[in-house]
Amino acid sequence: MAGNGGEIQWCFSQVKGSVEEEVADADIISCVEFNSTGELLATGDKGGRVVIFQRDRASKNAVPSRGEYNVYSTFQSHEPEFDYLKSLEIEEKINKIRWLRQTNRNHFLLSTNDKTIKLWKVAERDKRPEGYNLKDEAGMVRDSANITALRVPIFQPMELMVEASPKRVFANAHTYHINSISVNSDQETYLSADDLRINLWNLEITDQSFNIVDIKPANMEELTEVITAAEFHPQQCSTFVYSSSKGTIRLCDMRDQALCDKHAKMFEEPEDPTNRSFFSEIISSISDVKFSHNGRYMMTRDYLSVKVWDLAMESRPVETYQVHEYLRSKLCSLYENDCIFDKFECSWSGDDRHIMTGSYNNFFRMFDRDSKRDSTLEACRDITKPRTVLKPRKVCVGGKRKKDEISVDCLDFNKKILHTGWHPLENIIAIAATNNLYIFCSKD
Amino acid sequence: MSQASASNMEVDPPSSSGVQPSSGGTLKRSNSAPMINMLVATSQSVEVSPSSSFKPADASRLRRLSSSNMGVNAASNLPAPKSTDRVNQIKHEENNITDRETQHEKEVHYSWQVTNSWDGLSLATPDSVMSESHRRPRSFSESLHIMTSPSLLCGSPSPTRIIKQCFSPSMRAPVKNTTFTPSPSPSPTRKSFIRSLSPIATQAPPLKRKLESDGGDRFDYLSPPKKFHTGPSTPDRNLPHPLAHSISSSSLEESSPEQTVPRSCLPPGPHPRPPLASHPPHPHHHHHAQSHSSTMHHQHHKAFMPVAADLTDIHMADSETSEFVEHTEMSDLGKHAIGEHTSQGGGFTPIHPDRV
Repeated sequence: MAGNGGEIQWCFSQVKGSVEEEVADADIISCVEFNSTGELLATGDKGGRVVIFQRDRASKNAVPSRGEYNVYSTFQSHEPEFDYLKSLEIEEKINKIRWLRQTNRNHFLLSTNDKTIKLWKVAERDKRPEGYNLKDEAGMVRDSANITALRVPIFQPMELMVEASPKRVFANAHTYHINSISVNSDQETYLSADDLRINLWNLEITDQSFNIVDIKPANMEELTEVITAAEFHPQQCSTFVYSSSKGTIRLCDMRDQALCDKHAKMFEEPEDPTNRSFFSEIISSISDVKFSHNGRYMMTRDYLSVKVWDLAMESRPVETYQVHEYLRSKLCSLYENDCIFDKFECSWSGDDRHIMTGSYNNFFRMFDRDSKRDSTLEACRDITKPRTVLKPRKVCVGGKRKKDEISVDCLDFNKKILHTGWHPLENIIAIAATNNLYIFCSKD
Repeated sequence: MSQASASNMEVDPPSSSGVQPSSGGTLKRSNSAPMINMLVATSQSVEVSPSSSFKPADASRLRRLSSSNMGVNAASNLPAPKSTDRVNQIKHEENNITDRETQHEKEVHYSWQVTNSWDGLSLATPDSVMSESHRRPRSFSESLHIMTSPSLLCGSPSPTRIIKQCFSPSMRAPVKNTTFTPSPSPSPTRKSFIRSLSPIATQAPPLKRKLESDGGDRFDYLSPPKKFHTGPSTPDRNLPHPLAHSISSSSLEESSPEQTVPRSCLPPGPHPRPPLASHPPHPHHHHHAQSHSSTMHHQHHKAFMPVAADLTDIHMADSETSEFVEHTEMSDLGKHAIGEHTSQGGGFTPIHPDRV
């Protein structure tokens, strides 16, 4: 951990995935999530697969410890489906993965696509029974004439196998597309949010869920905003927040009412009249909301900035960080190519001191909340020497371009970093760049 | 507290994934529609299709539609909203439910028309392909039907039919779960069953290939183990995930060769990819430390996909096949999306609709 009070210096650790000219749609990573200890890192892709990486023991114990992960398990979580009732395809893309806190040897995670949430158990198996009485090793039935003595099977060690099995399937509760899931701190319930509704589930019960938020108007013509993200408070099991496409965040307390349509707190920053434009509402749409680990703050990501809110103050955020302000003048063309609707995620560091979010051209932004310093780094494969500190990048707006800078018009808007994850305890980050997963760790 | 809002689902207008944030989704539907419509439009002049409800009025409307930019929204009068603005998207969908359903009904109906119109056509197929291929039970002129994957048929996979997906971290490959069942043949309690498909009921727009549904013929060239797995991924998909391919800084330090794991070999489905010619049919094994696992891997590959191994060579020669999609369990991990299955399982050269 960087306890020295200085800036974190990031080094390349690993990159997962292959280099290809044309990326298969199914390989595009759609979510990244560390588990509560950081031991496992799960990614979901557009093809409905989940890949789990495990921290490499050797690298962890090495001095200095390296952040290296190896493939631990791969499984197909969701398949494409067809809804006959509505004549619609249901994509198998994994929208979110959330881990449950580990209680025994097995790991559990929730993965969701647009309509269905599944609880997966990931278990190791390193022993198998051998020496059956009636069957030989290949599984063929033994000739009864050869069986002269009783043979009781015993467990023999075998090569490690990781099994993933679906334990619960939570289906048919969402009319619209699920955009978030969040496990409660009680580890017994979780919420799932779609565009207009939020449901509360018990992990044991799959055929029932409680609807706790419903913002669907009676007349759909009056629809003005949708829910974009929702999360439970990390410590208080009755508190959750949900963000909207209009830039507001509502905090609700489930103890208040059964249906939490009325919020307990609403966080909204008054609009800056000088910056008002046709796109103001679109770029104010919040794409991600995350509580800090200590539960006192929350962070929201809209198109151009990241804001840190104190839960005790609703009137405005306590900190605002510009991610790529140079895009403000380009909003028109970004609207034309749909990039203005990209949903970026954001991440807290384990100590809540740093925050990170993605941008275009495979850039990602790091903000130090204490020193107010920020840096732009690039996830690319040009790694010259190992243990080299990543060089900060700079985007220039005006005419004169300095040597290492890149001009706004040269940015590749197809290379976007939407999904990032930060190890909960160490300074290791996972960045999803289209179909590649980069892992960086701090130098010390 | 209210029950699950599932009861509202019939009433509430759904969100359409046809008008999706990803323009790829919109593209998919609009790609398939004009082809079918144009086909029917042309077949109209040939007068192949049976009478029933296909009126001249429909035909002219059809022609008009086929010339414009097709898509789900083309049927409606409203201009398609910016696909990724969710609020407007939902509103638009609510207002155009009937239009979308009508459109879908039309698509299914036209597909059925096309299906029946195949009867009047015969094709000269390359004899070399036919003779080398596996015993192909039917010729091209037979009726073709829409085929979807079994998982589509049964909706979400039944959780009661829990199928463990096992993965070996050391081999970096999925393996068959043989811990408690060291039997080479499937359990006798499992029945192989063949689903009968109603060609009308199932349509996945990106699918351009239609297969026969009655009788067991269509499964002759598909791998047998497929039939008793209807849940999520089966052990047949034992190719490594692309993310297994890794480059580490530690490996750079020791200047050891790049750790590569056999890349998924099967060429993906139709659209952006160039035809098979640019993709090797088998994984290229970079042998070094992983050579042992690679070899085993390859054997796995062969063990589970006997048919494919023979056919890939054939398909190399045919550059047209990648246009077609056909469901087969032998498609690799990433290719489950509708319309993204390779045509490896087939022992025949599919027809390109444009060629008709």
